[in-house]
Amino acid sequence: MTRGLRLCALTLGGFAFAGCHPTVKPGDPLPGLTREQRAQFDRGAKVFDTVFTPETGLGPVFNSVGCAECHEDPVRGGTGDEKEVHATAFQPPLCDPLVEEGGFVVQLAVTPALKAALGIDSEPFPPSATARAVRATPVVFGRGLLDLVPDSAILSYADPDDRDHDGISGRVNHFVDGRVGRFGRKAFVPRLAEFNAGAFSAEMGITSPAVPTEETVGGLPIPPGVDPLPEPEINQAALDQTDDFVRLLGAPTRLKGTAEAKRGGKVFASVGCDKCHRETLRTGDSPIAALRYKVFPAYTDLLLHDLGPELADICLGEATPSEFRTEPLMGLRVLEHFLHDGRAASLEEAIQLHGGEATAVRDRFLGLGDADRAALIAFLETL
Amino acid sequence: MKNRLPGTLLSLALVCSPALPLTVLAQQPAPPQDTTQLYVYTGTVHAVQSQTGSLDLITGMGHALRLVHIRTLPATQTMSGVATIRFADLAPGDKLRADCRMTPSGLIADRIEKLPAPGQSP
Repeated sequence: MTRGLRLCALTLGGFAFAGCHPTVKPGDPLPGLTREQRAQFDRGAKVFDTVFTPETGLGPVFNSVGCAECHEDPVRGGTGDEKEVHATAFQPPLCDPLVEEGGFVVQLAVTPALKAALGIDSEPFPPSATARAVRATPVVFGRGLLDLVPDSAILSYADPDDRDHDGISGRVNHFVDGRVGRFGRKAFVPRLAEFNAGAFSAEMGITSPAVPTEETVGGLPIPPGVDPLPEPEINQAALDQTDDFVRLLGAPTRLKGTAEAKRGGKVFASVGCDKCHRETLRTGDSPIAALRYKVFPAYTDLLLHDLGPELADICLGEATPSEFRTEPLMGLRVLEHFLHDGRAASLEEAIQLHGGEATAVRDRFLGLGDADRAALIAFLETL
Repeated sequence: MKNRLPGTLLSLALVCSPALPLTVLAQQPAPPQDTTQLYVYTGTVHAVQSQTGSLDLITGMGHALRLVHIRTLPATQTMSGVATIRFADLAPGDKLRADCRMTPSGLIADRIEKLPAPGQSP
């Protein structure tokens, strides 16, 4: 051990095994925040924890009463057992997000006032939908880091025509305005701040300066007198604070793990999981030093990949029903159910359900001996 | 031309500066009242009504999508790059930018620019 490394190990004894970095537990802020940034994180956590009511802006249609209502397990920013429903109409090559029928997020709850006015318990399912999708609650750890991966990096990973003949042809999705998408199970949303602002509206029915108009009820306007609060229902400061919290949530440090888990990391690469679940990504420039030019364990390429007909559900943007964004595996260890809809009860089952472009890699996994398969799972359980 | 500047800046901001506050990024169909201000919408064409010279544009923020109804006048410029195209050449799925102003009868586009498909050179 060199003198520098010894010094590092001595002075940072409580820090993680990998390099000389402080350990980030699920729910922790990014390491290296200034005092003011840490205060921003804490202020944002309070908004994230807020339980909204109709009197404070909730609804009239909504999926959840607050961010932490879903992103709660085992800590704020984690997963949850709530599931929601999305629906679109696929008319190849176009995907209709059914905005005329209420949009692709189908809100499953309504306020008492809307129920009294229309006699409904949820937003009507869009009649023109060609597919219905269930979405499990993802963790939001490390999303500020993902936000800062340059578009050029994402584009450089794409291989839509499989020119390298490895059977994997990731491609980029684009938002309605043509920008490169990266957030959401279909990589539809370009920026974290937009995802967060959109979630206030689509998930909680809360308008903001960024989204100043209410969701419709299956495409129809909200009946008069049902929505008591004038728009916007939260101000820019509340939106910014929420965004600060999510942006500054750290990517959990990989657990040290056993020798088996370490070996599993090599198996992960040798069978080809890392062709899509890229181990590291690098952020670009940022005014926040803790986010600037950071190499972080992402385990995603932020691209769409065809996972086969078994998993196919809705289209979205340019994503076909069977295409999904490579799920970042940061914080994987806190999940109890896996895949976009939570259908897999174990990591092994989730891998087995990979099809399409992932078929060859899945088959290599299935062809492993018991020890190597166990090692790979042990590795995943450290993420 | 004077009225175009804020719209141009907004459009540039949308494309170039993800760090800008959301108030600048917002493209929602809020009920604008100022008839002199330019309202810029960038989105995907949902439907084109050639006979009435109007279109519905999908815009939005994150998973909260909205439809904006935009009308044109005979003087409305419809462009694809530097070339003038017919309004009827627009089709669902096209991505475009519309420079609009609010009138008592709704949004009127002064200029519509069909954007190159992603991955395509302008």
